[in-house]
Amino acid sequence: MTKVNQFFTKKNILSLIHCGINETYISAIKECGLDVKNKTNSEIISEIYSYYITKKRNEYFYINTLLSKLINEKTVQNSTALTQVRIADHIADFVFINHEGCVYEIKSELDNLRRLKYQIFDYYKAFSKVSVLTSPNFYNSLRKILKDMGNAGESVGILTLNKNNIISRSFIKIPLEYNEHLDYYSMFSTLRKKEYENVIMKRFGNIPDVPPAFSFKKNFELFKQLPIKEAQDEFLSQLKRRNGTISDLLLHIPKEFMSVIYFSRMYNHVELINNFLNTKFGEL
Amino acid sequence: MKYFPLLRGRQYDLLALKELANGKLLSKDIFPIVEPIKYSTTLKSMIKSFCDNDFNIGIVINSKIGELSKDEISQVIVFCKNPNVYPVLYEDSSILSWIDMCKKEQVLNRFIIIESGDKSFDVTNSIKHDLNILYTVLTNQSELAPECCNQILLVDRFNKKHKNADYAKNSDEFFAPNYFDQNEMNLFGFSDYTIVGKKNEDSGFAPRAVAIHIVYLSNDNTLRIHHFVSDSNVGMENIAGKYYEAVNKLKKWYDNRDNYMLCETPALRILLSHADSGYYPGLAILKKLSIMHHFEIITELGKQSRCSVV
Repeated sequence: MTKVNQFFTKKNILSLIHCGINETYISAIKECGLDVKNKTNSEIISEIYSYYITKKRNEYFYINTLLSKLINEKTVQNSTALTQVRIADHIADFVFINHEGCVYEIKSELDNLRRLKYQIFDYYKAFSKVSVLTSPNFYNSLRKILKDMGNAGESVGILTLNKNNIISRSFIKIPLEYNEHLDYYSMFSTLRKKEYENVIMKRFGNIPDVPPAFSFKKNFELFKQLPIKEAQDEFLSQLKRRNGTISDLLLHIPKEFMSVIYFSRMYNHVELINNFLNTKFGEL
Repeated sequence: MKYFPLLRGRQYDLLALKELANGKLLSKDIFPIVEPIKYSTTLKSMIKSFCDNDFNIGIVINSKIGELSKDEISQVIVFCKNPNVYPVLYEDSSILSWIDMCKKEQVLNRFIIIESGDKSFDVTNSIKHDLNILYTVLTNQSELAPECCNQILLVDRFNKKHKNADYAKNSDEFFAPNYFDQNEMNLFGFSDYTIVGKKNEDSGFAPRAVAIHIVYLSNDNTLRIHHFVSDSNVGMENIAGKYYEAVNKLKKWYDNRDNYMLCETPALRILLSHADSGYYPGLAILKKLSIMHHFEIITELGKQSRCSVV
């Protein structure tokens, strides 16, 4: 199963769109036991994706499925998705920001829920909405954990991923806005230096003129003078700039490649990717 | 006595070596051995600096940790045609094929062998009649052979911790004996992994704590290492602030040092200047400066031992 981690990567896609075939592609075809005769690369890759997603879903598939659910005509051009965002002591799997920011914590059947309470409390330090995407097997355990978390737990949204790997059409439980745990330090320390300097420059007109060793402390002193929801708006605005807004090109890309194209910034290669996908196996 | 430090060939190792060579800050008592990780521009320019400044360097051909392709290793072997560059080989099952390759490239016949300690494979006796083995690096003191006169003892002196914050638990430790003052054993030289250590760990994540490791000669004529660790080590933010905390501890220690301690070097002076200015050089430069300080201290030790002999 190590091949799955190598297949949906920028490196492998670049190799395929230029060479048409490579060792990783052939290994994946063998592993999935596919017959490639007369099939286009699009059909083969769709089968590879389906095989891996049923046998052993890893993070790529959850993030990819979530991204393809969240992207539509309304959300493109004004939304950003981010993965692996550090907030306080935990790392958020997936963050989606349009007019508001929401953390999606993924709990697959390979995970456990031991740390979930602490993760959620940390996410609420920077974000007002948190949802958990989970397998139906965890639903009851999840409800119990959230029930013990008071108002914070009541605000958490729930989505499930069924055995056909489809995210439930709507939230089983919609995320509610929860601001009680918002914390200046957690938001500020998630930002990179250039990002927090952008905020301070915008809101205060200049950046403190101090040596680098004191930059964090002095800029933070200004940041925490902002009303907390305004501080959060500036925080989200900076995060939104990290990956760039989602292009409408993604609406026309096969779902198998959506994450890797967006997060690896491969928009320039969309034409070549489509060309490769429409070609029969081995004929590029 | 000579010193043969073994470095893993990370970016900061190579940049430190390059700067030491270009600045002529190395002594001829020091013969670094580099185990390349990648065939990078920095590796090539470092080797060139050594050649241009007439310093000797060993390059491991059959690296255990390297990501070099066979073609890239061939390129490294070609460097060994230069009289300043010595091929170094681990004694393992691949050694004979690499020796053949070196012969094909007409590399000068002088090698450094690092014994693996694997008793099932002992090539040195079978090939030594054909090969000019200049030095043998031993990893086990019990392997020392009284009849040999070109042996180097490799010991990992750096007590590596899992987390930087853990260095604060024992901030001052013994590092090594004064290498240039050792004449009891039948050794030509000493080797170690400097202040980086043997374990090849690099998570790539920002650390929670910043630690600065400084080797110095204490008044009992041993090398000791002092670890200066930041205080605010909970989250991963504000590395510049943590560096300031650590480098200020270094400055306080330096200002209060015992006069008999040998610790001042050009690299250390640069670190001390950061405590005054609040400048943050980045963690890679910190590592580079720490390694440079280590080499500069050992160079100074070598000079002092020659003066005392005279």
